[in-house]
Amino acid sequence: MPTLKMIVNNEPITLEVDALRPLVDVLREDLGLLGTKVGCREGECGACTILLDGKAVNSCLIPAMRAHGCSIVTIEGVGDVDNPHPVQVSITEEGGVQCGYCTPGFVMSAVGLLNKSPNPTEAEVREAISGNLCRCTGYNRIVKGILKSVEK
Amino acid sequence: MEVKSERTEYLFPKLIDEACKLKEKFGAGGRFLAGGTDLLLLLDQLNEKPKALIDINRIPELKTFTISDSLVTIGAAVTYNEILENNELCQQLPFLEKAIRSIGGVQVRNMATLVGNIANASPAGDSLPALYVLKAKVCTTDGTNQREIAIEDFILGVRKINLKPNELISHIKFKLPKPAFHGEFEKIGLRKAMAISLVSLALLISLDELKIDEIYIALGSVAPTVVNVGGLDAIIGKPLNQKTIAEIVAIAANNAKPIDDVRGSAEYRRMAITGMVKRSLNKFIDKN
Repeated sequence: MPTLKMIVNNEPITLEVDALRPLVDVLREDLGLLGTKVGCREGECGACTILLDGKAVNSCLIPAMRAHGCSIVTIEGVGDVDNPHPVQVSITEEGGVQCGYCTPGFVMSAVGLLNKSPNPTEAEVREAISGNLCRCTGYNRIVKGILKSVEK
Repeated sequence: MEVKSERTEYLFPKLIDEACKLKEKFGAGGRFLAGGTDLLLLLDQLNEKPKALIDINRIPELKTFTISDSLVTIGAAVTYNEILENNELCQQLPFLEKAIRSIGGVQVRNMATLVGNIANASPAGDSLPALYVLKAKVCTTDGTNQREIAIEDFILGVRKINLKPNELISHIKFKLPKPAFHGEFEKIGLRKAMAISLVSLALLISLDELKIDEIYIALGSVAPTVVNVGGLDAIIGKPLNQKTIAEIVAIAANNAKPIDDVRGSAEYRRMAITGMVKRSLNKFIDKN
């Protein structure tokens, strides 16, 4: 099997993978990074969003080997309970988390946006999360949360 | 770099020539991968296991993206978001920007490529109507010989393209329209983001002393391929008013052969075409 070398959350990783396996499965099953969620498996819902070389992408649409030599950030690399990212704090404070399944994907899309544009407008925030589905919150609280994280 | 495997090989050629040789070696068992946002799903649907995925994203030449002497050249590995980040192009062609921004979400646009939208040849490819009215040329290579094909002659049907087995689309090119031209893009889908088009429309028009000098309309999702509306010569030289708009609407509707599907009925699509042509031309009138 092909050998995949990549950096995941600042750690170099080497593993053998089936070239056609979606990256999301390698992250979850081989590396145990279960924060990245699987929703639709066809790039519609955004639950599997990660950063590939700093850009938000759907990890369900990427054959794992495409990440060879690349740097990946998953939700685990963004922040955790003890050391949360400002986006995670603000979305939680604004009530933007209900069932929580979509949340890691939204946070990754927001972090991808802030990498590019540190002071986004509301329109930019809404565009950045237009590839993420949430069936609980109605989106407004998530948008408020992301905008609030920038004000801090 | 080459990674050996008894299963699907994953290859990263660094040169166009190398990519074409690999395609020749693997034949139908070799698949080029650019954005890949359609390819993985397609392989799954077809239950196809290729012998090799030939990843063309690391071929520097295919990342070419230039505007020079009003000629725009966009390489096969240039993503939608890389195009949207080009202020010059977006200022010159806001209707192309609008078309591209209507495709997928940010995550898809960070991977997917404009050339991939052509290679995929879906009737609902949302960048295609704009590329039709811009008279884009598709440039292919087999490593030695190059071909240059008008986009409407390149896309032959649903997922059917005029590409030989050992050929790669290297880039597309088109001339920026003269400043007198005004462009519009309209799309109707079930929602704003991530939705597949029910009908899409691109329009380029220029006036000479308030009379129509040139006009091009392309419609998406109303036939197996994007339709270049024919017969518009009849309205050249006429003033742009509601009477002419009604004539243009009738011509456009005659060109479309919409079908009923899960997203909408043929009847609905016919009405949508009428509304979209009217709306985009009235927008132009309002701006003048």
